[in-house]
Amino acid sequence: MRSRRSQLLIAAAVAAALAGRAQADPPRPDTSSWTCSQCPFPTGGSATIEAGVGYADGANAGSGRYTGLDHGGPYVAADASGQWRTKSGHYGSFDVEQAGLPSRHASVTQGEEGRYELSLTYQGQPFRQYDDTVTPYRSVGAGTLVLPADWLSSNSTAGMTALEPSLEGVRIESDRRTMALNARYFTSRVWTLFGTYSHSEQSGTGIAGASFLTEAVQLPEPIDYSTDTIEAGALWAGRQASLRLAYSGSWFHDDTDQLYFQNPYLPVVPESIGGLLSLPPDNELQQVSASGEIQLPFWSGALSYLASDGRLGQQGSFVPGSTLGSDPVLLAGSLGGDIDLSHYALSLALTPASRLSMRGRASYDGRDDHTRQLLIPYVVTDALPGGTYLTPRYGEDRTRLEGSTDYRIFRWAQAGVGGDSTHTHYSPEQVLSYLTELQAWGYGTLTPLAALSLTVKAGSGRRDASAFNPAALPLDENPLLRAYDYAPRDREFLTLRGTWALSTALSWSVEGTGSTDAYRLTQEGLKESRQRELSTTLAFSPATPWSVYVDGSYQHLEGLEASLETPGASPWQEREGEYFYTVGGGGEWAIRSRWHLKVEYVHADSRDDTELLPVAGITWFPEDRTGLDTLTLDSTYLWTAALTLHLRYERARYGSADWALQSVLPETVPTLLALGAQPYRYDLDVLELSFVYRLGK
Amino acid sequence: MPTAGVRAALGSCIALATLVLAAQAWGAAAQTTPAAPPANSPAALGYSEHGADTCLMCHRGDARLMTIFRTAHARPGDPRGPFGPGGLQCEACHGPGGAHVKSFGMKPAGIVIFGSHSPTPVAQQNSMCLSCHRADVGHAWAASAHAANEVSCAACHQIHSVSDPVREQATQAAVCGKCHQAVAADFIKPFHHPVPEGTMACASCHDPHGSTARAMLVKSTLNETCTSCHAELRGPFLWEHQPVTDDCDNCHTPHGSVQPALLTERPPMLCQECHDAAGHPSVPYGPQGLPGMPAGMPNPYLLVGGCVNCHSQVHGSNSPSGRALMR
Repeated sequence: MRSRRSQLLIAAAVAAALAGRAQADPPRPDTSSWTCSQCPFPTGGSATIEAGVGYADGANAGSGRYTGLDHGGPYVAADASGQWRTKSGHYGSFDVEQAGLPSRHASVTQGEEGRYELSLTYQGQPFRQYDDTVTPYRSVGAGTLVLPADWLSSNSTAGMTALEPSLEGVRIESDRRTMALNARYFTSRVWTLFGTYSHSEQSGTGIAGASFLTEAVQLPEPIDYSTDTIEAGALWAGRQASLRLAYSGSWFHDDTDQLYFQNPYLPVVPESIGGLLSLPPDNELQQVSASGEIQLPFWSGALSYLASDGRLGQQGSFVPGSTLGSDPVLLAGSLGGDIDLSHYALSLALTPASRLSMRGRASYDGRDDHTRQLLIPYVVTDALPGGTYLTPRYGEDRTRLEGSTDYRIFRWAQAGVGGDSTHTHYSPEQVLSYLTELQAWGYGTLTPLAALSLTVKAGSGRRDASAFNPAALPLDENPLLRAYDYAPRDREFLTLRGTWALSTALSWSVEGTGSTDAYRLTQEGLKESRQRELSTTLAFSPATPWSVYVDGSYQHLEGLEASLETPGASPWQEREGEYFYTVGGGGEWAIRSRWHLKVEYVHADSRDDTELLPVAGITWFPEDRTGLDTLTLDSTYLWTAALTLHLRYERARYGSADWALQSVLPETVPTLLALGAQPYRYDLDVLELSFVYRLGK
Repeated sequence: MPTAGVRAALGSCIALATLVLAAQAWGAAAQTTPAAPPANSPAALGYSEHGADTCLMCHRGDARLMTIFRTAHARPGDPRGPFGPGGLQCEACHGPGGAHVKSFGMKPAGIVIFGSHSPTPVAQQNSMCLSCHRADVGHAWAASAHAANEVSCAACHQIHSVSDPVREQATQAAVCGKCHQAVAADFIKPFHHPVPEGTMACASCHDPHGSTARAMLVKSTLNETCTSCHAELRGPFLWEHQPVTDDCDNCHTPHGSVQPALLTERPPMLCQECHDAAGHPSVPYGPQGLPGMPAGMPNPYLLVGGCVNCHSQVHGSNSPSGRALMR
């Protein structure tokens, strides 16, 4: 199988290269006398440097979730960019953004026109989850969490009398830092060699849940990941064909592969005094691919292709399966994880007539799991022997066919039809042997005026599954497990889209979608769901110096699911409705080319209703709500030709209600020692003042 | 497997189709006798007499156009670029401008004008861009959703600007959001990928120029796209969770959600869509399990993380005792 795939890759590459030889150049004018003496090709350098100070009030983990601006006080506001070029054709540029925040970005590019280009980039990605969380655990080295020496165990959090004085704050946050080196070398007009190396590190603290039978604890989980990625290859670009050959490899490494934690509860069995959690093991993914396009000699056709073959492996050492001295589960070596990933695809686009266009695609994605199955005697939550069980492996082959055709009936009317079919074939260990999804749709577009366009698209889909195979499931699982993923389903959907440029200055667009899913033959799992979305924008730009816009959106998602408490019992149902809407507006003004002001306002609300039926007593959950208001003012004043004053103000107010977190402190739930995270809430003011200085032309 | 045949057929198609087409093209090339054009002067072929120098006689006063000379499209040393040796300069993109010049600029006269509201058909606009960029960004363009919907390159790109907003990570989402309004609204939801904050871009996951994957993903499948960043979830694990290996969107929604962790629904209800009457009973955990409820007791199966309070290794476990994804 592997050799056939390799042959396919080589055949595709050779064929594309041969096709490219056939190019016949159209007549080209002799431009040797075009001197471009009036062209102001820049030489020398120019740069813009922005430096100043910002001050945040009311910031916390919620407001600084992705920017890292998570505490009040001053911070450095600094950006810079620049570029240079020599007469000999060497050039370079640099860019630094948000240098004073963990979300900083930097890049440097250097190259020679027509020869090569090198760039180095850095991107920080902070992720702040909670700064109000507390835990009695202390970290002792990497991967070990212990309780204070005076800890008093109990079978309930209320009985842990040393809990309150033992609690210490722990911030649930992490930072990802990615460095990447990109290189391109232009060996000729048609050949380019390229390579990318990136190194990404993620460190910090996350949340892991763990339990001793039914007594659970939330742990501060160490995050210490790094990923190295390489992509290298060659690109050939002929006039009639192209080919891209690439090798890519990605190696994930976790410095901490296990987390030991002491049991804060009275042990269910005397030896169960600690737990051991497995953290993500190292893995690697390597792939080779050939892709490209061939221009067909008829109907303005284009054929795109992709062939890719790769292997996903995992050789991380097994951690001990239990902390129990009397009954450890020790597996020697590692899993030897070995999964073949293969992808093949062909796309075809044809225009048989000026009014008619057709597109089609066939693709195959395979996940072939060769990992050995292991018969393992396992221990339940470091407390009790659980029996012996064979590890399941999951593989699948997915084949997808798509096609569509568009026909312009009149200059002002167009219609089209299309459809797709997806067939997934599962490996023998699974409850299904196959799943088939079919979908068909049609649309019509009217453009009665050049500036007015209305499109209506409607369609339906059907999903069918093979019979369930209960023998593939463990004895204690319901045969209808995973019913939702595989449930036979009917889907209807409708999309409306309109755009109207009332004048060159005034435009309006609206987009609405709706879909309804009904699950046939389903007594359990999701029975029906509905989705409605509407978005609209009105923009007015009467003149270059100023423009305004207003926009809004509305979404409503609704689902009904049924479940059985025990086999044969009457099903209970849960209905959930989710509502989300936004309104916003903004504008830009420029006065005398010196003063520029930009204002934006956004209001967003969400509501989530959950109801259980039929359940005795209260059936409605309290509403989960979020509310966001942000106002941003951004103003620049051109002091001199080289110096600009920049003032930015942001006010953001966010509140939320969440029944899963609200009022749940470490001791609130008798059998859950929680970290005590509360719903996000912040009232943020940010003021930034900086000077922008321009150097060079 | 039934699909093994399909896979073989599809693979064979790739090789066969390309070989046949290559052979045809090779033959056609062999029969073509290179002949000198009757007149290869620019004027004879409809171009201006002096290229950009002609254009700049009128257009050099437009500062917005002149910034092209500070972009990659105007590098005189790059033989691949319009302004490189032998390049057609302005007319490489805007087409032959001889007639436009003869009309003293009074008529467009076949000049290709770019933009969403341009009189030049979108296909013609895009063919100018693709004549150079087909290989590096556009080899899957022809069958892409953007091509099918007649989106012009200039609807997204600002060619004459020093900085093209759609190529900048911090500003890209605003460009995409002009059309994809519902997705733009998703990113305002409380839980989203950091696209509005500018540390990710739409192009981190999607290839706007087309790909052979669904939703124009940058990788061949959704899972390979997601795990290119979330590599710790890539596995393979000793104990796997089938919906995870199948498709990330069985539980997560990519753009934005009102549920934590971009989930499609809140646990335990999300888990109970599949897991009912299994292991321990699928109890309808009701509001009685919330703190402060009369005659109720705070319920660990409902509060905080719900099921993941115990089954935290939902993406897979490498512990020998991780069968129930609890270790």
